[in-house]
Amino acid sequence: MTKFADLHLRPPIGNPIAQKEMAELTCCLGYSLVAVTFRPRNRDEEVNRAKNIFLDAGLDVVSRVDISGTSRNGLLKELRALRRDFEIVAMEYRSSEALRIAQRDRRVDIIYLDSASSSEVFPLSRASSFSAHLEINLSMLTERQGLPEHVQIGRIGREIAKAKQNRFRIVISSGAHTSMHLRAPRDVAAVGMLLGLGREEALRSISSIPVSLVNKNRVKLSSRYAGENVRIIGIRDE
Amino acid sequence: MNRRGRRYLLVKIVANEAVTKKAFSLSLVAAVEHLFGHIGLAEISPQVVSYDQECSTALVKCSRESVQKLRATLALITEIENSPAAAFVLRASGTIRGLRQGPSIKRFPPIQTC
Repeated sequence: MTKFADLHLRPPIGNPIAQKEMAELTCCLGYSLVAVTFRPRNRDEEVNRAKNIFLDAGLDVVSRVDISGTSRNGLLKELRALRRDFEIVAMEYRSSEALRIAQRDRRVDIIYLDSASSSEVFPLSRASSFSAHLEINLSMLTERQGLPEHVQIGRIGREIAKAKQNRFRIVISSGAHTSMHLRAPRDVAAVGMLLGLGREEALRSISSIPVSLVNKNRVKLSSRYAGENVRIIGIRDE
Repeated sequence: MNRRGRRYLLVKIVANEAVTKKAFSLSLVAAVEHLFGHIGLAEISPQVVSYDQECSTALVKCSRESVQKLRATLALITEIENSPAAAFVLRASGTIRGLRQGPSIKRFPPIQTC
């Protein structure tokens, strides 16, 4: 059975009722893995409480942090501080300078463009590593705050075409702040097809691609990880 | 004579206020037309077969080739009669009987719309 994942849930961290509602709906819609977005300043108890709510609903949960790369130094500083604390580190595109660094840095898992950003398309260059993922958030279309829908669809379509050309892996997420902005996985895939993905590509972007990203990061964050393709299998006592 | 292939979708509607069959039907047609135009609307030919107001579920049929377009349209519905709403596809099948088999939709959790 296909395992579906939504890597961008943004529930209100101080509201356990809303979190529970989102957790139950996500489970009911057929997802088995979700990434809950936290802020760097969220306390450990808040993070653990939110994770437990999603775990209790029967979901596999990972923690995610969104950093806004505005400059090279700011991005590197945030990566140093946060990489070991969160299973997924995503960068919101704010400046070309930070984007150039993020595309080359293996510590950045996901790059995404928010609806509040300007109408420009990512200046993507060829992905240098397998860690490069471009995220398309459905909230850009469902939470209409900025640009008109036809402009957003056109822009996302161009982003997807450019990402495919540059060998980026594409992940589609809901980016939902509330339950009303969640959608069923196959509906999300259908929107992906509308935006220019093939049927198989769209299904992979909500299943195997995000699941493999999470699995890879879990291995990296485990105590047995020593480096790329190197794992500690035991320590001999002398 | 060959019959035209159809697909049936069971859709759960969550909205601020109670949604009638007519309101949902009009919103669906408007959303399809908004996204795909008149030609797309003719190709997809969405039709609300039945509507259960108590459970807020609708049975929608469309042409078999256009089921992904209808799913995308339903995913992008955010308003019905100017109030916040969302539509979730619970199941899809080639027959109405196929939709009725399968897990109960009573498990669908209550959602606060605002």
